[in-house]
Amino acid sequence: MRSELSGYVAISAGMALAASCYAMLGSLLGGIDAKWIVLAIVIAGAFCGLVSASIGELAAMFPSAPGIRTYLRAAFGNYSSLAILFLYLAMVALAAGVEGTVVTTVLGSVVPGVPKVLVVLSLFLLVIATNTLGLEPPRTLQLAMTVLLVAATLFVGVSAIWAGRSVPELHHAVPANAPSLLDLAAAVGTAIFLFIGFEWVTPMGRGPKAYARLIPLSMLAAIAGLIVVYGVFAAGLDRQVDRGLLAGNPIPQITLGAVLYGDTGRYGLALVSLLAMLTSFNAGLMGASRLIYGLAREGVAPAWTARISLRTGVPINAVAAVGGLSFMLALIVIQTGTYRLTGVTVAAIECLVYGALMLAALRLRRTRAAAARSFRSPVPIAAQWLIACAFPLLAVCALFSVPEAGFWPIALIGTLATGAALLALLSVNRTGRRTLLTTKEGATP
Amino acid sequence: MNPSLPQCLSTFVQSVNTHPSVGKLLKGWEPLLTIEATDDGQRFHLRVQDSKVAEVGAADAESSHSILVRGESTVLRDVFSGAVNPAQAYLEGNLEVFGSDRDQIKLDAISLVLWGM
Repeated sequence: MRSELSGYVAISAGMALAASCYAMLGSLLGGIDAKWIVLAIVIAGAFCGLVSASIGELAAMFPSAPGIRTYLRAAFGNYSSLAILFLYLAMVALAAGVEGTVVTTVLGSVVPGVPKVLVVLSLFLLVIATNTLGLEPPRTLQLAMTVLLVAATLFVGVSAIWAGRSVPELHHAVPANAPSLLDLAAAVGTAIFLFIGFEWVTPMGRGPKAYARLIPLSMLAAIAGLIVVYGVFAAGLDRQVDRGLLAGNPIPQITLGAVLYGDTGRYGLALVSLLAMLTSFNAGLMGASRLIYGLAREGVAPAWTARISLRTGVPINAVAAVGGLSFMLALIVIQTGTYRLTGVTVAAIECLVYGALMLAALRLRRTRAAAARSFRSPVPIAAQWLIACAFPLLAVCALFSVPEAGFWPIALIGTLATGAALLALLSVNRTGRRTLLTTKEGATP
Repeated sequence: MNPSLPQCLSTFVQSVNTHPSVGKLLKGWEPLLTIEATDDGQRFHLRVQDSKVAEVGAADAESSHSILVRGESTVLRDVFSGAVNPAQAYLEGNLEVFGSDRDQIKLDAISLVLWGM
């Protein structure tokens, strides 16, 4: 049972721990003093912990189901579920864009002169090919990779704290002002980015019993572990690197590695970043392509995305579609240098999705009160309502947390939300028409 | 009268083993499928081996690669007789499938190849 739990914790934490998390930590530390950022990480983690209880309850109602799509459909119906799912898929692709920027910059810092497009193309092709060939790392290897990532990040963070402050407080280029409440809320909203993906463990239970305790517990344990890892790393980063060098720096981990251990640190942290990118992007690509495949099987996504490889059982066209879209977005983010804008937009979308999932659990308590739940969120109902309503506010604050981006994050999320809503409307009409036709013809029940 | 779940499973096994394309799908994939009805507790085991499916008794139902398929007996009957799209039943939470992503898609693909749905 212990090994099963650790496997789930590794999946949950491994999904969240991406190379772009270092960039977002640097971005957060660029404007506000480290102790407030650590507080923001703790609060964001606490919010995610509360959401994880609701998600655990939803997963216990629908064990093994394809997560968000099933939960939101059961609570809010087909249209709302599809609209949120499309927004969620856009978020996954945008997150891959941020991830691509970070890894490209990391490789550029250790192998100067290497063409960015070639780097990002090679990495994406590697992950897409691995997925298409149906090569899945064994669970023990996944566990080992996550442990290595966590241990390396913690080691560097603790070393940075232990080494003593190399940047005296007075010499920080950006003053360590106490943030306003709005600034803190924006930091909390942005820090949600650091936990994105912990919920992807829910369809992976090995059996129905896992949903009564292990799956909810694994999400909580992963979030608690991530709070410690990010908190320690942020404190270490602040101690060794000037705040002025952090705000626009997508690779603060490399800067820190170089400060602590010279070239060895740079190369070591570059390897860790690559590992983080490969594990999170690989899992994201797998998860998103399975969602697209599911949509195609429902008749929502184009039929060609349901094509699978008979030999491997991999939905090859869905993998290619998600990989291709992510690659294009990565190129756009790299070329425009908008990783912070994209990052806060991703965080804001996830805030909205988490809010929706909490509301879904609350709604299903009313509409399906008698349904079996092997796990129930222990969070009081009033607190669940409060957190669910707080998430959209955090999203708005996060969207305004990059002053130089102006209203672009709002415009981006507005465009994506409108597109998702229209696409959902189109899909509902299309599937509705198809059902009507097939019922008339008597082709399918 | 509707066929019972055991009858549906027997017909399903026959259909899989005689279909010209399903064998390609099963090649190199050798899990033990356990089908469990949540309402009446019926349990059945199907072993996939050498691109063929065979019903096995509980005594032979041990494997390092196993997949559990659960649902109410009517849902299972509809899924294994091709009356209901399993992907739809899975999406709606009426059918539970405990296995890897690859296992889930392979199972779904069998229904797609057999019944085109």
